[in-house]
Amino acid sequence: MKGLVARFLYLTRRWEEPLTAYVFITPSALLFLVFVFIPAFSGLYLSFTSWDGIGASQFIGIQNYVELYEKPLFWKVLGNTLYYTFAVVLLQMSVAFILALALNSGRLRLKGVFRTAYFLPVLTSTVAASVIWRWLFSEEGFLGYAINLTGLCVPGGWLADPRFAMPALILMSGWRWAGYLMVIYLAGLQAIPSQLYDASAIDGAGAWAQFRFITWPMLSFTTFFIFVTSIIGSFQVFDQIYVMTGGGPLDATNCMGYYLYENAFKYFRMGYANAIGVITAVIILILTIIQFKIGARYRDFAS
Amino acid sequence: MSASSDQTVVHKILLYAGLVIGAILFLLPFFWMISTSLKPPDEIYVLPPKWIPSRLMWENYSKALSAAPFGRFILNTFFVAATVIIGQLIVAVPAGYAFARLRFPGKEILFMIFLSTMMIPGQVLMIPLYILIKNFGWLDSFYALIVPPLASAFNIFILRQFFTTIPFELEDAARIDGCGRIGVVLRIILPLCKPVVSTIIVFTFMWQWNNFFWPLIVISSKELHVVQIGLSYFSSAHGTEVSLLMVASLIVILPVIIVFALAQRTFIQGIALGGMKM
Repeated sequence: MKGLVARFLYLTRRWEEPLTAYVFITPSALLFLVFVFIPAFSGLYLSFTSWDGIGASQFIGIQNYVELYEKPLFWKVLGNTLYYTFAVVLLQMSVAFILALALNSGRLRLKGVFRTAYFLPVLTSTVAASVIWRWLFSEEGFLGYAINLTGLCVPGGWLADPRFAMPALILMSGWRWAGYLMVIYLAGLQAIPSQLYDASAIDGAGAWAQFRFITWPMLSFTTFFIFVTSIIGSFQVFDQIYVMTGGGPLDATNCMGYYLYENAFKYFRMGYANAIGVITAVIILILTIIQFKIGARYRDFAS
Repeated sequence: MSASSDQTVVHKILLYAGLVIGAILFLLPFFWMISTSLKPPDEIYVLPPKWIPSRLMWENYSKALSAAPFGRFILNTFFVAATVIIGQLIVAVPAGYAFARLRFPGKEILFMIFLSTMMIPGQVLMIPLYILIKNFGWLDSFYALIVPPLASAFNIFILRQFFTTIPFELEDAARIDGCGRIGVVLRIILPLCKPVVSTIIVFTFMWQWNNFFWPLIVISSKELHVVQIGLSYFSSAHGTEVSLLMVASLIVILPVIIVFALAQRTFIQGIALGGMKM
């Protein structure tokens, strides 16, 4: 018996490695097939149909896309999303960058305390943060009160005013994630060899020159990476909108993610909602490609 | 010499001052949350807003806890998170090892395909996934929450990166000593990859804890709700009882803060390492 098994193993030895590999990979592959690729293609197909989710779906070609193209609300939603995305990313990254620089400077006592303080908002959930900030922005909340004090008297608080609802959301999201980006920047800063700074100081470089020729270029890859992933993430904003504003007031804060949710689960227009999803994916893809094209210049510079 | 050291002192003071002010600003919402959670109802809507409540209404906490089954929500979320973490590790560790160590036809292409799943924005998959889950009959069940997240290329990616740093010699030594391939994985590789595994555990826990959109659309029964949905419903049902809302928010935030306090280094390392999974 043992001899047979040994012989069998010897004969199959050549197949052992690839076979093991395939066995190891198959569960993941199956999961990706079922939960990523199949939904991706069926979503694409569904975007060309009209379906309420219950009966049969009806193939209607590009009608959903035409409807979106002709609908002013869609363009408003898209504009809102782009406004939100770029404002939030810029806000988050600048705050995070400044904080990281500040925390990284020389021998700073209480560095860990500061880092924890700025990181704490990251540990909240977006829903909890939204609940808290919704209260803060109300007129009786601390922020609402402070705003009214400055003379900018907005009845109902910022979240009730179409002009200020989006800035409110942007502010909250910036608070929520700045600490996270700060940690990434800190890691990037700490990876810069201090010899570079020492050598440049010997050559007479001042703080600004050091920043311009050492710090900034060495961080360019990190910055690029953060920028790309933040844009992709922010473009799909949803939780805050659902909890804080419900898309309003007057669709001032309605963004692609929320618009998709509304159409799918409130109005039961599955095909139409899928078209929104497809467009979201395409726009993100285009934005990412643009960023890579622009980033290519800077990335070569860093290496 | 004294001129520049004066400048340095001034710089330091400005730096500290700026950082302290910034930290206070960042922490204000937390302070406000805690303060409001302990306020008696008549002090909430007072203008100018009152900082410290005149008496600490600990009753708010028992009121909030009895108004909604937060204990249940938290338990559900922990259960889902734990199951997802274990499932993800079971699925991703072998795959990461295979891509890092084994040779087989189609290795590069398969890896590219796996990675490509990370580039598909989650939102575009929400509705088709929902329909798929519905067809499986998994709507309103824990399966809907547990199984889809197992398809995570990010874990495979970082595990593979990590495995490639383990020297071949270790494995060879084990093989010479008679260890089978599976034995190598279990006895040599696994104990070594604690840092990566800790990162995965922390990130997956945070992701599952904060998960909102997906549970919102697939779960409808109150008993199965996860903690963020619970908070959101609580917020709609008790929107005017702000102190209870703040208590609820605190309850929802606390476990993550505890996890962070226990695993701070892993957190920070993980973010620096992966930086992506938000």
